[in-house]
Amino acid sequence: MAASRDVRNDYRRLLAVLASRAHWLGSRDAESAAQETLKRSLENTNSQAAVEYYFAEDLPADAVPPAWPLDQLLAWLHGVLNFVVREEQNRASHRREVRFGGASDERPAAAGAFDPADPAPDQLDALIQKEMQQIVVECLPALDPEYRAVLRMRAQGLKYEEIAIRLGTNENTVATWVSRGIKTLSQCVRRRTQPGLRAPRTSGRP
Amino acid sequence: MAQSLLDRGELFDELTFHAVVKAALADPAVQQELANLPAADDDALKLYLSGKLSAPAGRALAQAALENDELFDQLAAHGAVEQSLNNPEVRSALSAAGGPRATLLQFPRRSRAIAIGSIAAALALIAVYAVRTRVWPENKPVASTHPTAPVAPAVRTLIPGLDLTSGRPVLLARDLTARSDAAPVFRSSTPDSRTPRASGSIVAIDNFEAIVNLGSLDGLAKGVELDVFRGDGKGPSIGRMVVTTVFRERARARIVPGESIRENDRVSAGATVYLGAVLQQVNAFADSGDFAEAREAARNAIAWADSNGAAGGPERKILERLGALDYQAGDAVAAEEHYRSAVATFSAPQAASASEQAAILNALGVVYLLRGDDTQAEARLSEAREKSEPGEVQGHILNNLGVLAELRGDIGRAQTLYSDALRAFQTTSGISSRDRQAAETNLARLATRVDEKH
Repeated sequence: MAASRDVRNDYRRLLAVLASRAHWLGSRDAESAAQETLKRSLENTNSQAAVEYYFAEDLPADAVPPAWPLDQLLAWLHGVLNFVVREEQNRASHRREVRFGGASDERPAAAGAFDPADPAPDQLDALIQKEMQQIVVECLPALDPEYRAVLRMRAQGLKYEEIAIRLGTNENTVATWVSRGIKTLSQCVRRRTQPGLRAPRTSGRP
Repeated sequence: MAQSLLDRGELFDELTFHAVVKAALADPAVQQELANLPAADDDALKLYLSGKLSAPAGRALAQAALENDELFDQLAAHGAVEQSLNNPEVRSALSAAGGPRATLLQFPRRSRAIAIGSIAAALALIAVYAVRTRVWPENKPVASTHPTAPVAPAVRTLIPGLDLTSGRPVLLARDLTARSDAAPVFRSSTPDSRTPRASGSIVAIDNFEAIVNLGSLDGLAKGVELDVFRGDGKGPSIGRMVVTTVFRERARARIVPGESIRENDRVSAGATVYLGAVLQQVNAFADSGDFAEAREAARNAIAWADSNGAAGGPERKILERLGALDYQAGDAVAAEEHYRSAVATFSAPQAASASEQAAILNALGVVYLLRGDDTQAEARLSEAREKSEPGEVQGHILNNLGVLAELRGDIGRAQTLYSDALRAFQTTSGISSRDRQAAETNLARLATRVDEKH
């Protein structure tokens, strides 16, 4: 679907939000970063289906819900955008020009002197997964004990309903702990990715 | 109660309101309306977390997340956590992050029993681990990732699971073991990650800026200069452009004012940039375990360099990498040939630095040693030692010269060299613990042999 159409029209609002977030992350070319993030998300089968379902402006009435839930998609978009902006910054600041046969003897000290090329979708998947895990590990100590307890049980494969029974409380209380926990976590995620103070949102809002 | 309602107006109102609401809620039309009402973000988030949000409402939540940064962040954070729960590192961090507060979490009896059982099991595991590490500390495997390095009968290079106590000397060389620095693989080994291209063309020009069909996949980066050619690209360069923005498969470049550059002109970033991109692809193939593809890509790059006047400096790194890959694939003869070719490029344009020469000569010396050619090994290792500077490579060389001395029965000299190697590792920051451990093991083994003699 997306490959043959102009995604800038189909995902106008999503692109605006991604561009705004790219700007917070310190991108010098936030719109390109947003487009690159969307492009890569549309190259991955799972994220493509989720992006289309949640954000396409003309979703067919009989569209089937995707395999990825919304939170997984947003985590993915966050990870890809972060990655794209970091790549852009690496390209801008670390890359040296290396000329062949010129007067200068400047030479890359090692293979690492070259900027990494963009990852293909499958590799990107692994990198983003790693990125998310790193965020979570770094932010865990900041979490409330209740949420950590819930997470430990989630890691054992329990659903929220089962966790509520096991903790002798109701599901609504578990949902409150989780939402409180992810508020803390989201602040931590923001602090972790934010190079400086957030700039005010400058573009993209309809 | 009905009588008292007449006396208490507020109770009457409350019960009437309750009855009206109850009746309304039973009406399917009202139910539909309520379902369509947008939930407040917080409520919607809680419903989403409880799995009670319908798919269309999930779509509405997605749209709300576009308007509400905090909601976007919270959902992203939740997604990141849920996705990470299967990861051992996250599980371990969760366990380490402390338990719940007893005052807030009241465990039912069964859960309490489970919790006590889990703690007991964890304590038992810790106890077993402690006993194992105290009783059998030497059984810790050597961290490395290379699965196929051949092992000569007398000496070995550092390989995974290598039992350093088995009594055979261990050689050290850069790249002869697979890279274990967990460098991210930026290129896929799958067909959708295309091979880097040495040249491309200008697809559009707009206001002194050209768009070219080469990108980061081809090694381009901001600031790289592109030479522009007319026609088939075999003639002299007609101008230059400087890359300003890079994407995966395309880039924008600034045209120097006054240059006569047109659409469809050919562009090239030069051999070093192209071969650098190929080297990344070779490393990506090797890191993903596809040594055959890695060797093939490296061989093609060398053939390209030879036929495009880029033999020498630019291809040295590819030759060195190919030598290592040949060795890892068990082809020591090809490895020797490629390392020798790399040595032959030392004084070509873009001459090799002394430390680069030392590393390549050391690898060549190791290959000779593994093939049993002590004379050539000694010559190359000695040459490498002369060119080396204090640091990791010098430690490798000293260790390998120690192995050579040990094989020749000169235990005293071997001891001195192993000690020097160890000192080189200890005085240099960032040295792999495997290297240091290998040198320590070599030294300890010699000490045991000396003790046994006495």
